[in-house]
Amino acid sequence: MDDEEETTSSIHVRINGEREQHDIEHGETLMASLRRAGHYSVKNGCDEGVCGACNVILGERGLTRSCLVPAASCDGADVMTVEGLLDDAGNLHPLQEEFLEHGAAQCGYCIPGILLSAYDLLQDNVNPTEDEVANALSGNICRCTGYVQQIEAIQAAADRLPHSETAAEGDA
Amino acid sequence: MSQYEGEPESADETVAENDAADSNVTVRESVEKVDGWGLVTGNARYTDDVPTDDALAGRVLRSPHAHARVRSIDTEAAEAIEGVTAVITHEDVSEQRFTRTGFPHPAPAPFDERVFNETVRHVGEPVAAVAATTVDAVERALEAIEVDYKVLDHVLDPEAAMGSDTPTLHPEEYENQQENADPEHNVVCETRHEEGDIEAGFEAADEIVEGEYKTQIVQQLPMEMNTAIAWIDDRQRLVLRTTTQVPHICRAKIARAFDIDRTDVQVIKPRVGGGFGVRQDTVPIQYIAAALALETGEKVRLRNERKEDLHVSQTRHSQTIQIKTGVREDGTIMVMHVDITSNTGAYGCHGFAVLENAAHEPLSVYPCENRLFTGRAVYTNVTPGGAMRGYGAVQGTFALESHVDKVATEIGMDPVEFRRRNAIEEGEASFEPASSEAMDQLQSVGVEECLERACESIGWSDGPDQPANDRYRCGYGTALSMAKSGVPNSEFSRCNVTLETDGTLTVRVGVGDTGQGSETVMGQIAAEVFGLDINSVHVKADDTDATPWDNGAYASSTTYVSGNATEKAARDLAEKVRDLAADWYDVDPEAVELADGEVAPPRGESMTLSEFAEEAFAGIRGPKRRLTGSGQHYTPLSPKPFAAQIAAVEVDTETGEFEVTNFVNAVDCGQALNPANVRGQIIGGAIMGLGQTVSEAIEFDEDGQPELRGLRDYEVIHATDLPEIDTELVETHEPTGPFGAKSVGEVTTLGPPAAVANAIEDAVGVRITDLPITSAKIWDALQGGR
Repeated sequence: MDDEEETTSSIHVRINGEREQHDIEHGETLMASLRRAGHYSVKNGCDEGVCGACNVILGERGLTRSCLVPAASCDGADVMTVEGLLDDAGNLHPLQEEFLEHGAAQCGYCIPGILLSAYDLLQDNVNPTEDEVANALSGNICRCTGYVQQIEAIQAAADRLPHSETAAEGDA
Repeated sequence: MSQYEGEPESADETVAENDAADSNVTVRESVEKVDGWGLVTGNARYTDDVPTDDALAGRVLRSPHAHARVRSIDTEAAEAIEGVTAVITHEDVSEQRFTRTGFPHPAPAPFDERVFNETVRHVGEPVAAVAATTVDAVERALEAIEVDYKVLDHVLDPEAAMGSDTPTLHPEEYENQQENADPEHNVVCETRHEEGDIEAGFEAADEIVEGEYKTQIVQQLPMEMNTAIAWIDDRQRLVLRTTTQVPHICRAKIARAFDIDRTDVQVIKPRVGGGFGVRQDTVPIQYIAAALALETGEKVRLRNERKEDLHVSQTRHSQTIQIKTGVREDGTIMVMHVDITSNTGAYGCHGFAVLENAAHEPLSVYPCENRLFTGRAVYTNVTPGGAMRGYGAVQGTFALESHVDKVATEIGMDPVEFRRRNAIEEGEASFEPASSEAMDQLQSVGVEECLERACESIGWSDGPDQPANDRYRCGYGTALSMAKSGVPNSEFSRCNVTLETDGTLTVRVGVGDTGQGSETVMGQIAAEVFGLDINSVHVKADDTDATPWDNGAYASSTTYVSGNATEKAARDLAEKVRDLAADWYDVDPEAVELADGEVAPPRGESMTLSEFAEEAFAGIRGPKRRLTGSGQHYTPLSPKPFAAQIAAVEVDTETGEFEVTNFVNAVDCGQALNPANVRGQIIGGAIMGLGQTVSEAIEFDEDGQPELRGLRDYEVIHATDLPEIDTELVETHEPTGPFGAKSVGEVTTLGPPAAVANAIEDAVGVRITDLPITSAKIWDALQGGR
């Protein structure tokens, strides 16, 4: 074996707007480096890019499975985790409030990834249909809820967002 | 448990009925989960969400063979690698055999395993484990361990395993053999339960209908992998922070396996990412993490990879179920004989109890006079079967509810009408295992109303609209199901409630919340007794050091058993509050009202609970008082929740492709204490059941290797696969439940396989009798019929 410890390096990233420097290990994924830096909301559900629990919003790339991205490729990147949904005063995002209201979180392990999928959807589609929400969640596995209350919560949150057509036009 | 403030346990086991606040401040309201904020902000901390820079990395060396004896293990080279702190094998652990099965000791399971077994009996079984200062050192050490295996013949099929020419998996004698065990022929247990007169039943029948049904192996697949962090604390006690749904049982099993005092083991159960049964058992990595911590004296982190978890975690048993039914032309079931062969895999674990449940719960729905259940659980060289949501009744319900439709068809009766005529009614008894001590007469049975509501919802009597193109055919299918509210005379829960100086409550109860909302429901129950808001209650449940014994989360026991204990503890505290207030005001305690968070004596001014607590603690009207209440619950009762589920399908007759378009769940769970969370259990359970119905499967190749490269090969239901779902709450009132509640965690997982199979039969006239139901099987069946 070669001495891999020698190959560690560091990257500069902005996590939810805060500058951080992460020492990374050879071959480490973004998921692993984020978790090692204490960003435990980034969950490891499979380590193979299937479950969506490690979703982050990665700069221009948008919604990304952080377990598939080498940390070394993220120098200078902007990363948003679920903590980034809170406003500056620490208030919950409408998505989070509606998840609570609808009983859409059971064990919660998939929830950060699902909330980020939903957030990503609402960036482009302010008034998603049920099918569009389901499509947005197609890369996430939730083993507890059966998704129904999550879809309802996401649509309810969309209704509340200021740019939502429904909010602007009422029920018409 | 002497760290609690407070007074001796109340001996009073009765639950007062009349002093609840009528306004239902929290109970029957969809209050937000008490842990909800952490769940939606990412602040919830699961087992692995703590810094472990100070921990040794642990890994397990696993058997590549389905059946082999370890002749020798050479660990010398591995131990010599820099950074390696410990290498342990079967030579380093007790020879005492036990069972991992998560019931109170002695579980209904053979003591047929050790932490490491000299004979390995399935691919992936632990052979050795390493702890080292770096992941790299651990991996190199695993490669450096030399194992000399004597590969043995293996057997994967349970029928073959019972034959005379096949290997015996457990030739050594073991303790705690189950009913009619025959280890030489790989039989873990053989059971027989007869009521009435079977022969007479068949003679009196107009038609006799037989069928055979098969179910596949599936897995619980909670999203958090099984993980354990173990260390020795500053009092030289062993601490496990781990993914469990039964912290107190886990503590007891670890202590027993390593011969440590119970008081010298602590289990911390932080947030847990799902359970669904797999965390009822103390799984190998939990024992191994403990062994490595004890060996090294250091903190050790051990976490299965997803693929590893898929390969080695206990599964849902596959079963072959034969049913023979005698029926009269008028639709009366005269006799039922159910015979089950259950594949328990390499170890006995839940073999016996799952087998018993597989027949008894489904058969309970049809209380005919003559019933016979025969069955056996069999060892084979695959991953051990364990506990999984539904616990045998998923298999049994698929078979029985498919068969009930087949019988109805034979006598030309509508399957719903046939079920109406035969289904259990209030006051009738459930079919309980001979070993059960249950008092089996049921006081709340809403199954018939569930069926009516489900039929109304889907429009059963009109039948489905058929597409104009007759290539596509639609069908409806239904299934009834029954589950339980705990294992009778086995569950035990104790709860302590403390009145804090400001009138808030701390509830200490050892429930195993893995997301289903048990902590929330316990909080609601305690709050309700005082008419307090849920935010005035803190539920502490995540640490065996801080909570009294509770069996934890399995058998749909928590709301009923732990909920009753919590209600009693809160009422015990309420009684003390009334006694003290009566003392202050010189009135009869009975006359002191306690509602809406206020203490109201018959004369004088009422005060808030907060004011009351402050005065009591300050000693303004007498000696300083600190008030706590306690309660415990242990019962021969296990009230049954019921469900009627209906699937609507559309089948492409030219390809066999099909879609489940609608799915209705009508559920009687007694009173729904938190309707939003109840709905979540109903839908989540149904979707898990639907996954087993249409796609999930773990298969093994001829060498016993699991045929899964990872999660990508295990097909669960995604959001885009959902049918239109309707959920109907049919609320009965269970007089023995906390605020009228029964359970709801498992009952809707049972019906989907049969409901879908029946709907496909309704649509295209072919019956799929082995799970999962695939387009290929439907197409084959359609070809057979042509």
